[in-house]
Amino acid sequence: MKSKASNIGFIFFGLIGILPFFAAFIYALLYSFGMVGAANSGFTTEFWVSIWQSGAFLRSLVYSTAVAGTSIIISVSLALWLTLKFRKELEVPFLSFAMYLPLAIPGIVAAFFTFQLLAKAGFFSRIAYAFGWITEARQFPDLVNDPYAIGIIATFISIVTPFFLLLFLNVYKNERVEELAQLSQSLGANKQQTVWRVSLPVLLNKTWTLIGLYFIFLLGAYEVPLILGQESPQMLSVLIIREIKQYDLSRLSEGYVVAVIYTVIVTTAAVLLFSRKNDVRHEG
Amino acid sequence: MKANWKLFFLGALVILVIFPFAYLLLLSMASEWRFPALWPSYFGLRNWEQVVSSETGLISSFFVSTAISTCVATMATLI
Amino acid sequence: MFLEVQHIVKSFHKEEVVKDLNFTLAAHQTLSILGQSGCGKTTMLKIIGGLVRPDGGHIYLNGNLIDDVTPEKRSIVYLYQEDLLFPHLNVFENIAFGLKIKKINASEITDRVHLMITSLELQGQEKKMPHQLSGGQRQRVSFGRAIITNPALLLLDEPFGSLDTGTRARMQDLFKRIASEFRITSLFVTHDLKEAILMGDHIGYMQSGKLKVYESKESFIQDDHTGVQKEIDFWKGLTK
Repeated sequence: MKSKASNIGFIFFGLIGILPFFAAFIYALLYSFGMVGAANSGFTTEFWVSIWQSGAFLRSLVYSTAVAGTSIIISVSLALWLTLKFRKELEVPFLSFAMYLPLAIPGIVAAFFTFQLLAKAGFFSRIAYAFGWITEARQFPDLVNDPYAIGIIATFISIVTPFFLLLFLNVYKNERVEELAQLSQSLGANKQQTVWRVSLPVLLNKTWTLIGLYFIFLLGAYEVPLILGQESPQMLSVLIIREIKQYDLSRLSEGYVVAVIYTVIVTTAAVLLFSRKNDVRHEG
Repeated sequence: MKANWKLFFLGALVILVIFPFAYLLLLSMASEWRFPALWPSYFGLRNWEQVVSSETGLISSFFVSTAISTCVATMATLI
Repeated sequence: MFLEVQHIVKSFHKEEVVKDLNFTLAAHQTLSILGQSGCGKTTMLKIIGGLVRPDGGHIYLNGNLIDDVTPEKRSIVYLYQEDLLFPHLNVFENIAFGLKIKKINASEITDRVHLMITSLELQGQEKKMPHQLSGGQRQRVSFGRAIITNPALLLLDEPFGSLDTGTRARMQDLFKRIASEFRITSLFVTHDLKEAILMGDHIGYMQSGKLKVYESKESFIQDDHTGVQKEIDFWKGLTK
């Protein structure tokens, strides 16, 4: 009976989860080769060639990877440090509630907020002015729409760190890291060795799939880089939407080319992540 | 000494969490807030009155959002 | 004496968990301690291992006062009730953990670990991860990991509590063999009457924070509190 139930679940998953996604992918693929679309007239590889030659996609991919990677590394390190240093304090009801609050802020609001704080006429700029550090708004450094994506990274970190903190605090309890750390000490490891050889590996071992998924999520984030990003290079989703929303219909296909490449990369990465996870756990 | 440092840090963390909410609330009540000013020249419920009284459909859009998310949550739980 | 525990007291929230603990133990001997759960035996072991600070009293190991020595420098290993293995390391790496910490060279580590794996009858399991092992195997790995570091004192907290009867009997044999092979000094805490008599060179009985160590096994058997007489009467009653 159980297998019947799981079959129904699988069919539902296929109908709702995979079919629309797959159909959209096929549509994008056909569009990218000029086989669908008002302005297109049959199979051609010209859009793929032009995307390849312009280099816009590659730049955007490298840029997105760098931004998402930096954000994830900083967030995970920060959350790990907080977990190891403050886990007892964070169990206080008020504090554990406060840790959940940032999760309630949607990405677009966080981006808007970052803009209000860091822009040239923003909160910090006003404070700098009040202290006499700057005399004009334009003297304030570029922190949003800047080439180093400081605004985007800051926003990502503030969105993602609370999530990782809650995750690590949970894993810390469930995997009994406290006891493992005590055990490691009684086997002769000092505090530092215990952190590097036991606490961190155990925490990361259980969570790296989620960390990987979050990296992919940030790679494809849209609202935050839309508000806080610069003109070029842009993060992938922004680039794709910009191309697809063009009034110039011939550019539409190029947008779909980028969308297709992006989908292939992300799907491959996700499949790799999960298949390796399954590989490790073949017994209870 | 060590405990004090931790307490201080946690306090800063809590402020960091609460600050966005407070600041956004402030922004919602402020208008005519030009650059060097640290405090808006108008502070009150004017923006809120505008949103509620105007016919932009904020309230109906709020209900649509609630209805959609309830549906999604229910379906996701059932399946 | 090798281990001397003097007047140790410990309270949690005004409740005295350990009351005036006094006992001694000679080197290469096992003291088994019988006690029901909640009698304070886990706290007692953690205090000796340095994982919990006592409110008062002193502990001497090999003639040295160790009250202020940190757990990693005490050379006392506390083994948990459950077979707590490092989940991210395989059998070999788990056993080698204590040696790698001391930065012993790799070939010596390999030799010693393989020797230990043979003693534990775990050949062929080196590459397995903890979640792929049975309860008895996990417990053996956890033993090996502790014993290989040559601890001065081994603290065992209900080590076989989670095993089925057959595995438990085999593990008791194995432990006795290894204890004499590696000349181990240990405290063996259990709530199982038979196990307490079987495993210890000496026997103690712990009840609501107070430990009494018996001069001999006979006096332990004679004492009404320990429940040995009741047990004997029960079995005799069956044969009548």
